Amino acid sequence: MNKKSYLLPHACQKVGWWMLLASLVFALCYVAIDSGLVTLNLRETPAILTFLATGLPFLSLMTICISQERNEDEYIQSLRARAVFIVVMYDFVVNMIVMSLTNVLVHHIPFDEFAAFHYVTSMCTNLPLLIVIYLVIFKGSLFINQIKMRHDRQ
Amino acid sequence: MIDNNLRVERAVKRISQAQLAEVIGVSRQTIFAIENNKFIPSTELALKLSAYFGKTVNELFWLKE
Repeated sequence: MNKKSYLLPHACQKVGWWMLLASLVFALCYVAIDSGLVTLNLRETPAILTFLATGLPFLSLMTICISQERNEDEYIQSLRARAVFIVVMYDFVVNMIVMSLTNVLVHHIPFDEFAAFHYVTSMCTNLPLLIVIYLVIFKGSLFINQIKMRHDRQ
Repeated sequence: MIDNNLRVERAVKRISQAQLAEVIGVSRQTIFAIENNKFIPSTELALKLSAYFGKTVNELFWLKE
Protein backbone atom coordinates (compact mmCIF):
# COMPACT_ATOMS: atom_id res chain seq x y z
CA MET A 1 0.00 0.00 0.00
CA ASN A 2 1.41 3.38 -0.95
CA LYS A 3 1.14 5.80 1.93
CA LYS A 4 1.24 9.47 1.10
CA SER A 5 3.92 11.25 3.08
CA TYR A 6 3.46 14.87 4.06
CA LEU A 7 7.10 15.19 5.06
CA LEU A 8 9.81 16.83 2.98
CA PRO A 9 12.43 14.62 1.29
CA HIS A 10 15.45 13.53 3.32
CA ALA A 11 17.73 15.93 1.39
CA CYS A 12 15.88 18.85 3.00
CA GLN A 13 17.11 17.68 6.40
CA LYS A 14 20.71 18.25 5.34
CA VAL A 15 19.72 21.69 4.05
CA GLY A 16 18.10 22.35 7.44
CA TRP A 17 21.26 21.43 9.36
CA TRP A 18 23.38 23.68 7.12
CA MET A 19 20.85 26.49 7.58
CA LEU A 20 21.07 26.00 11.35
CA LEU A 21 24.86 26.18 11.22
CA ALA A 22 24.68 29.36 9.13
CA SER A 23 22.11 30.87 11.49
CA LEU A 24 24.45 30.26 14.44
CA VAL A 25 27.16 32.22 12.60
CA PHE A 26 24.67 35.01 11.89
CA ALA A 27 23.61 34.96 15.54
CA LEU A 28 27.24 35.39 16.63
CA CYS A 29 27.63 38.29 14.17
CA TYR A 30 24.41 39.82 15.50
CA VAL A 31 25.61 39.59 19.10
CA ALA A 32 29.04 40.98 18.15
CA ILE A 33 27.54 43.99 16.34
CA ASP A 34 24.73 44.56 18.82
CA SER A 35 27.01 44.50 21.84
CA GLY A 36 29.54 46.80 20.21
CA LEU A 37 32.35 44.25 20.05
CA VAL A 38 32.56 44.88 16.31
CA THR A 39 32.03 48.39 14.96
CA LEU A 40 30.96 48.67 11.35
CA ASN A 41 29.96 52.35 11.46
CA LEU A 42 26.30 51.34 11.37
CA ARG A 43 23.57 53.35 13.06
CA GLU A 44 21.78 50.18 14.04
CA THR A 45 21.99 46.42 13.44
CA PRO A 46 20.83 45.69 9.87
CA ALA A 47 17.30 44.28 9.70
CA ILE A 48 18.41 41.44 7.43
CA LEU A 49 20.96 40.34 10.03
CA THR A 50 18.29 40.47 12.73
CA PHE A 51 16.11 38.20 10.61
CA LEU A 52 18.98 35.83 9.81
CA ALA A 53 19.95 35.60 13.47
CA THR A 54 16.44 35.12 14.87
CA GLY A 55 14.17 33.84 12.10
CA LEU A 56 16.57 31.53 10.31
CA PRO A 57 17.19 29.21 13.31
CA PHE A 58 13.44 28.74 13.62
CA LEU A 59 13.07 28.04 9.90
CA SER A 60 16.00 25.61 9.88
CA LEU A 61 14.70 23.70 12.93
CA MET A 62 11.27 23.52 11.32
CA THR A 63 12.84 22.18 8.09
CA ILE A 64 14.69 19.48 10.06
CA CYS A 65 11.49 18.58 11.91
CA ILE A 66 9.37 18.07 8.84
CA SER A 67 12.00 16.25 6.75
CA GLN A 68 12.01 12.50 6.34
CA GLU A 69 14.71 10.28 7.78
CA ARG A 70 16.84 8.31 5.33
CA ASN A 71 14.55 5.31 5.73
CA GLU A 72 11.25 6.64 6.97
CA ASP A 73 9.43 3.43 7.88
CA GLU A 74 6.67 2.60 10.35
CA TYR A 75 9.01 2.30 13.33
CA ILE A 76 10.54 5.73 12.68
CA GLN A 77 7.02 7.09 12.27
CA SER A 78 6.03 5.58 15.63
CA LEU A 79 9.02 7.32 17.26
CA ARG A 80 7.97 10.55 15.54
CA ALA A 81 4.39 10.16 16.78
CA ARG A 82 5.61 9.49 20.32
CA ALA A 83 7.75 12.65 20.25
CA VAL A 84 4.81 14.70 18.97
CA PHE A 85 2.59 13.29 21.71
CA ILE A 86 5.10 14.16 24.44
CA VAL A 87 5.54 17.68 23.06
CA VAL A 88 1.78 18.30 22.85
CA MET A 89 1.30 17.00 26.38
CA TYR A 90 4.18 19.16 27.58
CA ASP A 91 2.69 22.22 25.90
CA PHE A 92 -0.74 21.52 27.32
CA VAL A 93 0.07 20.40 30.86
CA VAL A 94 3.23 22.35 31.73
CA ASN A 95 1.83 25.52 30.20
CA MET A 96 -1.41 25.05 32.10
CA ILE A 97 0.43 24.59 35.41
CA VAL A 98 2.91 27.43 34.84
CA MET A 99 0.27 29.86 33.58
CA SER A 100 -2.16 29.04 36.37
CA LEU A 101 0.49 29.44 39.05
CA THR A 102 1.80 32.67 37.48
CA ASN A 103 -1.69 34.14 37.26
CA VAL A 104 -2.63 33.24 40.79
CA LEU A 105 0.67 33.72 42.64
CA VAL A 106 2.32 36.56 40.69
CA HIS A 107 -0.47 38.54 39.02
CA HIS A 108 -3.08 37.64 41.66
CA ILE A 109 -5.78 37.11 39.04
CA PRO A 110 -8.12 34.13 38.88
CA PHE A 111 -8.24 31.83 35.85
CA ASP A 112 -10.76 33.94 33.94
CA GLU A 113 -11.23 34.65 30.23
CA PHE A 114 -8.15 36.87 30.04
CA ALA A 115 -6.03 34.16 31.62
CA ALA A 116 -7.45 31.60 29.21
CA PHE A 117 -6.56 33.84 26.27
CA HIS A 118 -3.10 34.36 27.74
CA TYR A 119 -2.79 30.59 28.08
CA VAL A 120 -3.64 29.96 24.42
CA THR A 121 -1.26 32.67 23.15
CA SER A 122 1.59 31.35 25.27
CA MET A 123 0.92 27.84 23.93
CA CYS A 124 1.46 29.22 20.43
CA THR A 125 4.46 31.42 21.23
CA ASN A 126 6.19 28.42 22.75
CA LEU A 127 6.55 26.90 19.27
CA PRO A 128 10.35 27.31 18.88
CA LEU A 129 10.88 25.66 22.27
CA LEU A 130 8.46 22.88 21.36
CA ILE A 131 10.34 22.24 18.13
CA VAL A 132 13.60 21.95 20.06
CA ILE A 133 12.00 19.55 22.57
CA TYR A 134 10.54 17.50 19.71
CA LEU A 135 13.93 17.27 18.00
CA VAL A 136 15.70 16.31 21.24
CA ILE A 137 13.18 13.52 21.94
CA PHE A 138 12.97 12.20 18.36
CA LYS A 139 16.66 12.43 17.45
CA GLY A 140 17.58 11.33 20.97
CA SER A 141 15.58 8.10 20.64
CA LEU A 142 17.17 7.42 17.25
CA PHE A 143 20.60 8.01 18.76
CA ILE A 144 19.90 5.74 21.75
CA ASN A 145 18.74 3.02 19.36
CA GLN A 146 21.97 3.35 17.39
CA ILE A 147 23.99 2.88 20.59
CA LYS A 148 21.90 -0.15 21.61
CA MET A 149 22.37 -1.70 18.18
CA ARG A 150 26.13 -1.18 18.44
CA HIS A 151 26.16 -2.97 21.81
CA ASP A 152 23.94 -5.73 20.39
CA ARG A 153 26.49 -6.45 17.67
CA GLN A 154 29.32 -6.89 20.20
CA MET B 1 2.30 -8.98 24.58
CA ILE B 2 3.65 -10.36 21.34
CA ASP B 3 6.82 -12.41 21.07
CA ASN B 4 8.67 -13.51 17.95
CA ASN B 5 11.50 -15.70 16.77
CA LEU B 6 12.79 -13.36 14.11
CA ARG B 7 16.32 -13.53 15.51
CA VAL B 8 16.30 -17.33 15.31
CA GLU B 9 14.95 -17.39 11.76
CA ARG B 10 17.50 -14.80 10.76
CA ALA B 11 20.27 -16.93 12.26
CA VAL B 12 18.99 -19.97 10.35
CA LYS B 13 19.10 -18.00 7.10
CA ARG B 14 22.47 -16.50 8.12
CA ILE B 15 21.42 -13.01 7.29
CA SER B 16 22.30 -9.86 9.20
CA GLN B 17 19.81 -7.30 10.49
CA ALA B 18 21.03 -4.81 7.90
CA GLN B 19 20.61 -7.31 5.05
CA LEU B 20 17.12 -8.28 6.19
CA ALA B 21 16.18 -4.63 6.56
CA GLU B 22 17.34 -3.94 3.01
CA VAL B 23 15.42 -6.88 1.56
CA ILE B 24 12.21 -5.99 3.40
CA GLY B 25 12.61 -2.26 2.77
CA VAL B 26 12.77 -0.95 6.32
CA SER B 27 15.53 0.49 8.50
CA ARG B 28 17.84 -1.70 10.55
CA GLN B 29 16.47 0.01 13.64
CA THR B 30 13.05 -1.47 12.85
CA ILE B 31 14.38 -5.03 12.68
CA PHE B 32 16.33 -4.47 15.89
CA ALA B 33 13.24 -3.07 17.64
CA ILE B 34 11.05 -6.00 16.49
CA GLU B 35 13.59 -8.59 17.62
CA ASN B 36 13.80 -6.97 21.05
CA ASN B 37 10.01 -6.71 21.37
CA LYS B 38 10.22 -2.92 21.44
CA PHE B 39 7.98 -2.56 18.43
CA ILE B 40 5.07 -4.57 17.08
CA PRO B 41 5.11 -4.52 13.28
CA SER B 42 2.08 -3.73 11.17
CA THR B 43 0.22 -6.55 9.43
CA GLU B 44 1.87 -5.55 6.16
CA LEU B 45 5.38 -5.79 7.59
CA ALA B 46 4.58 -9.05 9.43
CA LEU B 47 3.33 -10.55 6.16
CA LYS B 48 6.46 -9.39 4.32
CA LEU B 49 8.69 -10.95 6.98
CA SER B 50 6.78 -14.23 7.02
CA ALA B 51 6.87 -14.40 3.22
CA TYR B 52 10.61 -13.83 3.23
CA PHE B 53 11.26 -16.60 5.76
CA GLY B 54 8.71 -18.93 4.16
CA LYS B 55 6.73 -19.21 7.38
CA THR B 56 3.23 -18.27 8.41
CA VAL B 57 2.76 -15.11 10.47
CA ASN B 58 1.77 -17.30 13.44
CA GLU B 59 5.06 -19.15 13.26
CA LEU B 60 6.98 -15.89 13.40
CA PHE B 61 4.81 -13.98 15.86
CA TRP B 62 2.66 -15.27 18.70
CA LEU B 63 0.88 -14.00 21.78
CA LYS B 64 2.96 -14.37 24.91
CA GLU B 65 0.99 -15.77 27.85
